[in-house]
Amino acid sequence: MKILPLWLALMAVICLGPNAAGLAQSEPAPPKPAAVYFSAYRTPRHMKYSKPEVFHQAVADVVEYLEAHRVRIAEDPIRKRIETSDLIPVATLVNIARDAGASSVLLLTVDRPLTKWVKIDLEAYDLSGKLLWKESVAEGGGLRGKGGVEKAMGKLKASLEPRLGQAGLEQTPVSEEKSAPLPAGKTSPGL
Amino acid sequence: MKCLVEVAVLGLFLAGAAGPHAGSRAQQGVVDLQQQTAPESQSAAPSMVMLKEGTEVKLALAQRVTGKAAVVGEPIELALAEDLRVGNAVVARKGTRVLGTVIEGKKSEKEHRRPKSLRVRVDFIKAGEAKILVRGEQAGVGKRNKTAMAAVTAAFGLTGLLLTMGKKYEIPVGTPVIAYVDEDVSLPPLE
Repeated sequence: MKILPLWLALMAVICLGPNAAGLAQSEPAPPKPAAVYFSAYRTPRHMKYSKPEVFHQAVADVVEYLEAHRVRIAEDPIRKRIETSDLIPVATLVNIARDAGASSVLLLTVDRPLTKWVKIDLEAYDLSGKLLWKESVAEGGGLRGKGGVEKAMGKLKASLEPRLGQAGLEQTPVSEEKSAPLPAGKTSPGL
Repeated sequence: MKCLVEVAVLGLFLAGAAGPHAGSRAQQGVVDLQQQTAPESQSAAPSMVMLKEGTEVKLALAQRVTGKAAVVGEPIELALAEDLRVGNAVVARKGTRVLGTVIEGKKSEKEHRRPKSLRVRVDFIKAGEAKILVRGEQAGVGKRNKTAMAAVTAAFGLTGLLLTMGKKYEIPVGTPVIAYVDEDVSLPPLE
């Protein structure tokens, strides 16, 4: 008689275990939060008069800012993040964004104008290719360009604050972020 | 006697509790299996079409590629220039993403000197979840800026001529590219 409770417990585990698992499987998957497709472009003037490191630093800073503010960056299924010096038309970027499951496109442009050390533009487009908004900052103070990117990034971050949560910068709710971590973007120097 | 009671209780438990569950699960399993296999069998047998190796595919560059910026190994965006068909069945629509790679260009991002040639290779078409391997290449056309050559040569003589006689290689957006399917691939036709 002593082994009877053990048998009963074992049978209960066998019978209830898979059912519980089945219930968990039958729950519908939660809808994915809106994501942005991020790409970066380096202008010919920046190529001529500045270093690629400056460009990649600006890209890394913007990506870090977006991730820190729970803006979900869609991952391209077939290639690394676009960081290019050949301008890709917005129509092509929209096509890629659609393929990656994103709801909007963020295009970062890093330039080196004649009178500034660095100029950073961030443009948001919807999937029809319509410009949603654009933020443009530049840094040109001082005799040397040292720290120019940091100062420009500070200005850009300040101008992006009011746009967080709006179209082009949709944020993941905090609860979803805890359950499903944001996909880490891949950097591809030189690409 | 005690053993007989134990066995009887266990038998009743198994018949009452596990039996119906096991039966329903088995039935459910059959249904699930039918649900999973039915569409596969429907789509697998009659509706899959074979895209043969060597089939010609018309593509177009979806971005500009320049010798000044393109780095060897950099991914290039192309798109299908027209629907890809097998008989009457469309397997990939016009505008579908195609990925290529720069195979001749600048060796590194930091290189300032223009390359002596520019060439891109087509790698694959992304048709839904499937990748259709294709082969094909497109070379950039080198152009000399004759106006600048004449002006600089007039001003600086032979030195000016030597400085400006280099060719600028470029493959503009929309440049047609002919590629060929690299291996037989079975694909579902699009509706």
